[in-house]
Amino acid sequence: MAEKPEQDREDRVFTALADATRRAMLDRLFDRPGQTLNELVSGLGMRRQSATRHLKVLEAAGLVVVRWRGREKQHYLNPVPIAEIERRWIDKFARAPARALVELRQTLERGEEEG
Amino acid sequence: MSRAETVPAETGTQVFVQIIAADRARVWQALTSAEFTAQYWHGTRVRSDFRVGSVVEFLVDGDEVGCRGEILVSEAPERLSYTWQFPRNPLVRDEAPSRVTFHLEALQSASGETATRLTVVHDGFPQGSRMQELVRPGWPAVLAGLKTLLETGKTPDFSSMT
Repeated sequence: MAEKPEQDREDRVFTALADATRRAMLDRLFDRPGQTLNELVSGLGMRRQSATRHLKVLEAAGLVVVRWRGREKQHYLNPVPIAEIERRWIDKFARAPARALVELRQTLERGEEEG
Repeated sequence: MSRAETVPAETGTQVFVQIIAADRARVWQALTSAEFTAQYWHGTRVRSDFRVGSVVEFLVDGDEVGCRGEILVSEAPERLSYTWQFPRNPLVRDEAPSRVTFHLEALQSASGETATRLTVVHDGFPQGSRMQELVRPGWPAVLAGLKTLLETGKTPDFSSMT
């Protein structure tokens, strides 16, 4: 296995995630898998052309997978590349500290909401 | 973005895709033989003759059945499908079966390297399924372990997986 294709793939995942609109699209697909372009567009209040462009980036990164159901093109979040990043980067360097910080932040934010 | 407009998923279908630098025959073997699954699939040993209508079981702790199902499609090395139940987990013991389907597509790079695009589709969940929440983080862990095993020969560290 050559190093290059793996690196290219990882680059595409990080690039795809480095955009708030694309992350919002992933959140939407997590909440409701299998949405069509029209459903995504109306849910996010964005232009069709822009959504298509963002979806292409997400598909190229393997973060969004397309399935056809009859004539309907459905979009699904594929969490596997994110799991790979977790294994490659978070497990290796920062699992315990990262979890502690996430929990701390959640505790503090809960406190704010209640208070 | 309001949560209120988020209606429940039509089918709750979940899709997972992993690209593995191995040919389809090896990926198929890794999905259907106990020596392989024991190394990447949460330590379980798969048992089945993989004929349509046969039972498939995932054994843990010796001979105890963890997950089980019935083979629906078995077309080596392209497509494998079975029903899915988890009788060992009290949370989902009585839940109606869902369905798992593996699609194996052959890929070839410009330099002639062979790879397989493995797509796992888990669908057919009953209304109010709790299995759905179990398999969501489950499949990425299994697929990451499978990739590691086939590409490096290393058994993944299960202690770091949840």
